[in-house]
Amino acid sequence: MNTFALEDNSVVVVIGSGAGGGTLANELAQRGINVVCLEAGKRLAPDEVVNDEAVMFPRLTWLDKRIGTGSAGKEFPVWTCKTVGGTTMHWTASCPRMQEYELRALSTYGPMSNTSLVDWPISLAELEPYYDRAEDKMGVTGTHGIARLPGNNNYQVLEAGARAIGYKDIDTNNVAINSAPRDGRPPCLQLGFCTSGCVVHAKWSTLYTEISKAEQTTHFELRPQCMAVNITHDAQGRVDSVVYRDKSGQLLTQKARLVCVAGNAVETTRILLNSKSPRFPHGLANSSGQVGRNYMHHFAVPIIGIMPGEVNMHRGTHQAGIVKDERHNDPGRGFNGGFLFLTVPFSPEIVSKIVLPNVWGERLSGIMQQYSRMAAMLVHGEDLPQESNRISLHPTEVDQNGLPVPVVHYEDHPNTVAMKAFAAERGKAIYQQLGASEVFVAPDVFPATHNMGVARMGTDKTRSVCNSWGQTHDVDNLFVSDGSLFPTAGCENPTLTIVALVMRQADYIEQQINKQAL
Amino acid sequence: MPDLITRRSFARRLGITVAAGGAGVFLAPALLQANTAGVEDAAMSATDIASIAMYSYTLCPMLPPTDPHYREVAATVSQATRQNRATAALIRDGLNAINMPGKPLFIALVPDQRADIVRSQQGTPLFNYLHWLTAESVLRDPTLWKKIGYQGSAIEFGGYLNRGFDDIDWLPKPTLGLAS
Repeated sequence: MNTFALEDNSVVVVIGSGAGGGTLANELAQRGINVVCLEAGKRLAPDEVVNDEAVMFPRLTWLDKRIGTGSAGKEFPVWTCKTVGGTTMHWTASCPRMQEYELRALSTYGPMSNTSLVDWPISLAELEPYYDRAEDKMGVTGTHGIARLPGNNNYQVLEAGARAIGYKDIDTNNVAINSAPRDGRPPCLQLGFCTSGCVVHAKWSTLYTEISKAEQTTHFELRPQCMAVNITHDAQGRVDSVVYRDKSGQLLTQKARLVCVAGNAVETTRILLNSKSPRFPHGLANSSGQVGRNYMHHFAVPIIGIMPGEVNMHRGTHQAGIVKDERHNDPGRGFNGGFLFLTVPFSPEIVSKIVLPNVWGERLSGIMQQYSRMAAMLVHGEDLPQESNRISLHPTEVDQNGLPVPVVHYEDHPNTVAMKAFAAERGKAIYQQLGASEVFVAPDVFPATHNMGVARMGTDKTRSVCNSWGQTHDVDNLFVSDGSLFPTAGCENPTLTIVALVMRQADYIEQQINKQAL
Repeated sequence: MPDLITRRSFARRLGITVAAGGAGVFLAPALLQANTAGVEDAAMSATDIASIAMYSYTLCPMLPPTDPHYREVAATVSQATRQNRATAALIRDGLNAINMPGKPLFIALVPDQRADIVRSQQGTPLFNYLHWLTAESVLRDPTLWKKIGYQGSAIEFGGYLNRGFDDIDWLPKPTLGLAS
């Protein structure tokens, strides 16, 4: 650990400490590059992470005001985290790789109306070495000889039902959760509170992996509860500092040689758009007008089956169960792209609030009495980029930091509507085939935690914000280092790909610094 | 009832809704969030509070109607009326709809009659708000969990690894997909 002076302009400032920022900061620190990491949220002490969803939700979640329009929830349009470790505290650690066709979405699907489809500027072959390194770093089960987790009850129901309707590509998933002691962390105890933060640290989270490792070097300083406000630049248009508000409310300015923004789509957009100047009148790195646009998430539809026998879905790891048979592209199904079935348990409270918001009275009591016989899954699939799905800043409303309130506008593309309907029917069939007495498909109101696009990579500078290294086209010492980079969304949980991309970015930054190009 | 209609229109103009889907998984809907000064004339009467508790019970009758959880929901609602004028108006609208002038009080009705009234209120702001709050109170009760088979935290016992995470006995054991 180290501390750096505000006027020290030799540091790289990384904004955000989650999958992108936390990983990048450590990768740079390990290479001897000095990093100051600004994180808006608090650093939770180990005893502040408990197996209680209601306690952990406000501790982990970004609850500052955001406004949803379109079909996005009005008060809670996206689900992101505000804590050291970011969304890696909340994530389920599900780590499937993206598929080759998904990185060539435009070539595969052809032009589709009302989309801004593109191919990724990098191929799967270029990404694969970084997937390897990311999986090794995170200890992903089913890779590098790491044993998979055992199948819990909820998984066994999913597997049996999926086989019964003819699916074959089924396993306990590739998860960044230890199946045996590894990297100084213990194995999974099947606690069942993955999304509330892992009490025993079996799940990879940057809080106690990347951040801790960076702190063991002399090249890293974490500043929690420091909210980035804007990025400034010099007369040549190169960024030179980050203005932020610390926990006492004081505005401070950290000089920087290079700035990497990893705030998760909403905050990455906000800081870029809030960094206007005469030279960059529409916000930093936004000469294309694409910052904030092409916002993508994955629909996340919960399905619950009341099974013939006891399941006790709450016992065990959340997403150690996956069916991948529908993740290929087959326009014959009525849509392009694919989707996944993943296990996920729900507590009684969430069953009522999220899955059964319109069920009440004796009917609700009757269903809840069968809680121990419930099995549950989440289906999520590819979302197509649309320019009109965007994050923008409210013209007048500001939050407690004096920052413009983000406005998240989202509408499903007809392709998504068709995929969701198909996916829900297949999901229902999995439980029905095993004799479920009832199957409930929740309304698609679960706000996405998979946030992508808004500063996408590309070769066309008029239609993208960054090059394939995440370096912005407009400012060569400004990088984007999170899921905002995704040109298209694929259907896989995005974190593994984010980690792979920022590891690749760290290599590039080191090379450029060594060449004195940065 | 022109008064009721006026207030509803007012609420609609403000764009205030309590759609559960619009809020976070554990985030109370916007009704809870204070954004105006206190509302002195919005205090709930004893009848109002008893009506809300009974409404909550009708939504999720998993505990006896006298259980403190339903009164806890009513107390939260009462608190919300004191924090926000628009919220108070929406809650008053909901109460007026279940306690109509010249009709028996909601709390005096038999269960089937109460259910009929609640059914007519499905999707209204107060219905959605109470559905949400009731889940956060009643369905967080560990004694209820025990009855329905939810076991909550297992860290005290070394996790479900030793408490039946894979004890399902009515399916064939998985044979594929577990090899690394």
